[in-house]
Amino acid sequence: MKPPKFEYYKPATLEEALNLLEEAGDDGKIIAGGQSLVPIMNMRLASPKCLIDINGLEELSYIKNEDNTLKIGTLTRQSDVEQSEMVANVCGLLAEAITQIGHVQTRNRGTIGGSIVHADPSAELPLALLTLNGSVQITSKDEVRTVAAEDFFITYLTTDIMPTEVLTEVTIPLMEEKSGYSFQEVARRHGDFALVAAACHMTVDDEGIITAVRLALGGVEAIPLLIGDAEDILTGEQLSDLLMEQVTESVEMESDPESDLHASSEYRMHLAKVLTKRVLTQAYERARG
Amino acid sequence: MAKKIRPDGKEKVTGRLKYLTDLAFSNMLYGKILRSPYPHARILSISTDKARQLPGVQAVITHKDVPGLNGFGIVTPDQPVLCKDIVRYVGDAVAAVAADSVETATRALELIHVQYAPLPVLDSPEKALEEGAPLLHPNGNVLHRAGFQKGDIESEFAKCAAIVEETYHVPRQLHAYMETEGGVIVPEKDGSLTVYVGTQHGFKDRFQLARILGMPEEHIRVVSSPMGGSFGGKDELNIQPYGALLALSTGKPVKIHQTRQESIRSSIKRHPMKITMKTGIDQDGRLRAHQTTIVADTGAYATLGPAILDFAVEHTSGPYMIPAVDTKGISVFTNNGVSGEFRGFGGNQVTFALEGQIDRLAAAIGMDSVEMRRLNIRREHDLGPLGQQIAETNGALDVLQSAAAVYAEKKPSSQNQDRWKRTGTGMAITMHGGGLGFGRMDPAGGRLSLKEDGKIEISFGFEEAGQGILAVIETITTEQLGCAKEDISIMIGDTSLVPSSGSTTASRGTSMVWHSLQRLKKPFLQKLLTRAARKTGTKEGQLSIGPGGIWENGECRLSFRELASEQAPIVISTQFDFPVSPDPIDSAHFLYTYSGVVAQVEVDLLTGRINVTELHQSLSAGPVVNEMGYLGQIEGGGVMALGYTLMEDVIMADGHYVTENLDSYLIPGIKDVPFNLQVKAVESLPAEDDYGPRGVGEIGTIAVAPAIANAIYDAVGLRVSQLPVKPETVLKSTEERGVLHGSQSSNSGGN
Ligand SMILES: Cc1cc2nc3c(=O)[nH]c(=O)nc-3n(C[C@H](O)[C@H](O)[C@H](O)COP(=O)(O)OP(=O)(O)OC[C@H]3O[C@@H](n4cnc5c(N)ncnc54)[C@H](O)[C@@H]3O)c2cc1C
Repeated sequence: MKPPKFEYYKPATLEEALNLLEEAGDDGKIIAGGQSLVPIMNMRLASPKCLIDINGLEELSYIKNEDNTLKIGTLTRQSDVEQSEMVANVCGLLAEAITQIGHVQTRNRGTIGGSIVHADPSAELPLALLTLNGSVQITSKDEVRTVAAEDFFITYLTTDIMPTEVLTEVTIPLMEEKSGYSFQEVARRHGDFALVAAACHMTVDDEGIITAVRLALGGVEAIPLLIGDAEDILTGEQLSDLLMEQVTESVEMESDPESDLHASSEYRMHLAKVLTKRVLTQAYERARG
Repeated sequence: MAKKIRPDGKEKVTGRLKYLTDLAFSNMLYGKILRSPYPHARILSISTDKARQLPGVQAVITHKDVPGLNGFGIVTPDQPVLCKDIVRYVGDAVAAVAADSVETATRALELIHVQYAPLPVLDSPEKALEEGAPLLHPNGNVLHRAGFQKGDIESEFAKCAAIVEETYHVPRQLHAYMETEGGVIVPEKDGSLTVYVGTQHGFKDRFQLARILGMPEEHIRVVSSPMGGSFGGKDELNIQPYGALLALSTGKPVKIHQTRQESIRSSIKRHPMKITMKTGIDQDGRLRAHQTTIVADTGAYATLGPAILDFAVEHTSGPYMIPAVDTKGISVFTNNGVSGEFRGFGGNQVTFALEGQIDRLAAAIGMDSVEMRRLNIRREHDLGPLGQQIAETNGALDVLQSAAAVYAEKKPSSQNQDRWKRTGTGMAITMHGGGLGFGRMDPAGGRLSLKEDGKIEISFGFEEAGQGILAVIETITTEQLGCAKEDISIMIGDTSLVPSSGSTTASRGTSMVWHSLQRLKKPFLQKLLTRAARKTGTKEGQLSIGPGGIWENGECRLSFRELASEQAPIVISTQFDFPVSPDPIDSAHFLYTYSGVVAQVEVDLLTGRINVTELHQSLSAGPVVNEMGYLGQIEGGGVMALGYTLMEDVIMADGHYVTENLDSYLIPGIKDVPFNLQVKAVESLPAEDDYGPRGVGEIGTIAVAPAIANAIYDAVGLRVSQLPVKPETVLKSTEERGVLHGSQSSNSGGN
């Protein structure tokens, strides 16, 4: 199917884009890689009157490491991040997560910002951003604001961004200490959205004591879910089966996955627990080196 | 053999090939079909007034506008083109619209007001067979019964050391061709009609359309090639009647191209079946008795349901010689989607059950399953499964030996790196009949001409659906005639230009092309050489056909163009029947192909996920005609069957489709294809075999599911009796039995 008719604008600068968005108001929609928006339009699940194509805003495509913060412009293609040696070196979790998004073809077009704004509950990038304690920079005609990942996702496909705003940059604080990470998911087929995904980032001291940990799950709630208890349970301890069991109990309490054609709620819950253990184990092993 | 590129390959991979759904004509209108929202209902009234008044709408048709027979169906025309008083499934058409745009046509459908009175929904064969169930058709809810008996089943069971009884459930599978049903129907100035719609049998469509339109067949031209896939799904009529009726009523070309959702709603699917098998084996490992009941959900209309059940019945004992066989099958009408022709034609379902039985029986008597198969396998001179004489080959044993060698090598499964994974290897074999079988009209034919322009035209009534018939025709023709591929042109898929060759189904294309060439070659070459002798003044005996023209003493003396110039074309035609058994046993086949499959799986005990890591297929189907085409059929067939085994199921609830599109109905992607995918052709045939290469369009899909199922058992001890195998089922079974923690050896227990 083809989408219904729409107006199309391709601004050359961010300022122009912001003006167009302001004018269009609720009728306007940004198109970046189009990998989520176009299918939705083709299936007629959305029919925006006016598309504002930001692919001409080259200034929004970059990857930099400044003051130990990874900064990625919204328009950076997923495949650019995937292939960046710098990202692989300083932020392995992101690099690992990105390879699991869709297919080579969709990653070549799909952008970093597009995936985060789209906010599918089992998407890899929102989950990675949350796990890494990242934030997003949002620009409108009037202001530039920064929102932490923890506050950005509101519910299923809904975020704290207004139709007149542009997500301009994604930032991720980098850790210096000995750290380890893991990102794992189960999908029905390779390249499908995950049934459940899990991500963990952990720092460990020389004795193997966990000094910091963030664990989050995708696909078990309407938004990526940070398992706050994991921090309380694991910090100051060495990883053990007993502690992992405690963490999975928290996972079970905090998540409420849905049943659909692809998997039952029980199966998703089971996967959440299995993946929790897998990412904790792998992150710990990697942190210990 | 050199790997030849198929003639249509380059155009396809560069996206230049125009499919029939790509065609556009000036003044063209767009058609849409209104289908029933109810799986079973009485139509109380149909009002089209509002739709007709919508600007841009040029025609709205209902049952009143069908001039001829308001029904279609390859064998029995029991499916209304446009329903009048009853709808029997959610794909039933009630009205159709032609308008200036797809949007307007879609809008117009919403303005057609149909009043229905819902009727009880028979959403399973069990319900349809209940006493007092409403009758879906005048003759009741049983479309067809079929059976086969030989030997004394009870006394043979009495001799058995072990008897295994199991009920197998197989799902409704979607063909999932890339190009959904569609095309353009053009009314011509002289009152005739040209139908540009992909189909597997242009002449049959022409026949059916003539009956519906009340028009002589000669006034209808069906252009049916190329198609973006079919797999059996486009043998029956789909959108043609609606396009034709709308084109005739508006006098303008009408294009209809179904969306994927419309396609899933209206298209035929593979028959879901419930198969119960009770099979006995004696102490020495000999199969003695085999009792089968098949219940097929054929959906709302007949199409090829009877033939598919007959085929399933014929193949229930596979390539094994069993003294007592008792098979009963029933194909039942329901208010579910229509089931019909699909690559494998009923063989896939029963082979899954049979090969499951074989592995269970071997385990029951503690015998190696390969050894047991060898002990019971049919030999060269054995009669066919219905007791009929068949073309004798040693195919069954050949593929068994070939697969057994792979199996022996793969069987000692390596230890998994991850403690929570298990590897397993499984095997299955099968035989599969080609052609339509005894008692069914199965004419074939072809034509060879030297045209005025010097091209040798080879012509068949077949269609290119992606299966590679063009490559087969090119290879066989050039090899048989001795000319080059540049010398020939291929003409297929146009009823006004080609001879009738029968349907592009039943793995018959390759066979029929080869048989035609055997008949055409001699008289054709004779005529060419006679003319060449006259033109050159050389003795015929010194001339031969070669690339580019007529050769003498290693040199090309006369080009085909020179040979053709200023003379009438040379035309040789042949008509014959697909070879059948000399024994008059209804629906029995004569030419069979054989396959032996070995699958290796890796099962994750924590997630229940199954990864097919290796798939080895050995085939016996005579000589390979075109290596790439052969590989494509077998590898592609294998992957299609992998989907059938692990993910595909068109789910219906209360007669409604639950999986309505390809986001919920999943088919394998490239990453799901086993990393190690091997095809081995055992090409040998007995010296006296007269039948040449057999078609391999279906055989690659048949024995894959049971091989994977047997591999799953080997890995984790789960006896699979239902497809598709879901991770949740695996998980439940392995957790219950404590497979991960080794509290039980993996190969025990069942489900
Ligand atoms: C076959 C297929 C498989 C896929 N599999 C996966 C998968 O496994 N995991 C996964 O996470 N994703 C998957 N995707 C989605 C893919 O990753 C998309 O690229 C991504 O979700 C959206 O990015 P985009 O740049 O294409 O955004 P678009 O589709 O262009 O836009 C998506 C939404 O974001 C908004 N938007 C985009 N950029 C901005 C911005 N800078 N500021 C404000 N709003 C903006 C748009 O208005 C729109 O609402 C898949 C897609 C396809 C087609």
